[in-house]
Amino acid sequence: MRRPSIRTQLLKGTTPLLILTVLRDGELYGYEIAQRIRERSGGAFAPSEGALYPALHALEAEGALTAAWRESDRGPSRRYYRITPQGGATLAEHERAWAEFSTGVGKAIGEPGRG
Amino acid sequence: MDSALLILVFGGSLVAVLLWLARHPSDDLPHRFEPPSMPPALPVAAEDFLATLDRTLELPELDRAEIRAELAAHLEDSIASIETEGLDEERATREALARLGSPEELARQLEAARRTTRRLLAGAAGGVFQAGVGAIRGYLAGTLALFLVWVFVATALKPAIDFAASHLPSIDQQGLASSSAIGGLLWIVAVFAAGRRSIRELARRSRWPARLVGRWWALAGFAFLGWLVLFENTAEQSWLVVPIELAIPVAFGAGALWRPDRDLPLARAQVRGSVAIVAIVGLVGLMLVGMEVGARGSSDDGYAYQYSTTAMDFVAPPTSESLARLSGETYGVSWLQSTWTVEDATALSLYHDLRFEAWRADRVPGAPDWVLDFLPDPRYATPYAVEPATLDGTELTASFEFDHSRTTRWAIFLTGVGPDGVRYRLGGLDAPESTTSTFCGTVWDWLTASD
Repeated sequence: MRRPSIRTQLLKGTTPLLILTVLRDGELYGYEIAQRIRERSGGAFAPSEGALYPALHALEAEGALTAAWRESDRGPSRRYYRITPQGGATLAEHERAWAEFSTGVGKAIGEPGRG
Repeated sequence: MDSALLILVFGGSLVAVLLWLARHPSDDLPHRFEPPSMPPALPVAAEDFLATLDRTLELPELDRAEIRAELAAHLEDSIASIETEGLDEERATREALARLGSPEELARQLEAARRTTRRLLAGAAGGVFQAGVGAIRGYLAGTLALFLVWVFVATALKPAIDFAASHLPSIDQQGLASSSAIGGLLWIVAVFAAGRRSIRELARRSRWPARLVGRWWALAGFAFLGWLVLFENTAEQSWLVVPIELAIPVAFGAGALWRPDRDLPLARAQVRGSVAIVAIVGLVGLMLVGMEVGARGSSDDGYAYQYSTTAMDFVAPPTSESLARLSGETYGVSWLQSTWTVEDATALSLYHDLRFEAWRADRVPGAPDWVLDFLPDPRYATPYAVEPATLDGTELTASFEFDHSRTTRWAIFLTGVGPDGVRYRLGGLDAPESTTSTFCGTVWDWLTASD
């Protein structure tokens, strides 16, 4: 079995944070969400598309997102996701956790300005 | 546990869960999904990927269809986007599929994402609610249909009823408790509908396929209903009623397990109509035998028997005439008050410690089924119950409880102790006064009762 890359492993835990962040600006469907994350990271990374949909459905099941089918600009219907107030709270929580985590990791590896 | 307390705990928990769910309505309520009328035309490899995903997913059909539509749209976008980078359709498809990974792994992750504890609880609450709705609807529909057919049969088939009344033995006089049997049959129908309706609701809300979650749901329902039927439900019992009542939890399990993902053949209107007619006519037939024939009354024409009390432990009567005779009986579900009128008060005053004795009895050999005169059962050497006779004017009364005996036929005698200290039979001399009783209790009471 091939070992997942370091980037994949690092991204895995941040997928919900990235999804909620891009949906804060408005509703998007799955492919658009992946594109938007890629654009906002300057093409540096995007969540695996195989992990994107399970993460979207899990957030929906938790009540952080709602989804509805609607006609898209590209023609056929797409499933659009929208963040809920509960999702907003979840996003804030993720952001706090990420800030603590990245600061902690930065200090641990001796990143300039963090020690 | 006391029934009222149990209902309070169970009902309170249910209400609490429903209120909790009501606070989060948007994501728990199942939505309606209609597949796109024009699904995207995808390359064969992409269609194969979606087919494998669909086959692997253990989710309700609606969810699988929605996931398939969502990923089909995704693949359409993804392939088109990759093609703009200069790849041909085949390579673009291969690249788009590689980005999604293995369909089996994707299916596993999607299942895990959709099956949350909260949705399972919501499904269980919805299932319990729908079980109640299904049971009420099934019972009311069955009762209404039974009533309508009863009216039809009672008017259109009157000659057949009269024939049955004069030729068939009474179910209730055989101690079979037909009303409980009919009620039990209605509950079997109602509980089957409850099991089916509830498991479909549970699957819809929890995202667990009915065939997987159904076995646990059926087991829980079987245990709950089995406990109710065995230990809590008090009704008239008989060897006819007991298997019917024990079939009630089985019916729930069958409703939850038998092809839960598909509509029953019964759901088709023409089949439903035919089956309903056959079932209801059958039930009505049972009711007719039980009620019409049971109301016929008794007659002693055409048979004779020799009365014998050799098995009884008291001596022969001092006179040839009874000193008191049965003048009335009052029945409860499992009790009987026997009232006797004193025939010869002077002679009776010579006796003390007057009492009624209820002896287990059986039909007179050779007598027709409908004859209600019984003889003491020679297998028993002592009476089942003894009650002091209370004298009020010219009437002697005593009450018997028969709720712990499966016997339904009784011979009742009046006895008293004479001046010589010997107990004599004083009433029921030429023939015992006969009566019947109905066992009332739970199935467990019946199974553990004495004969």
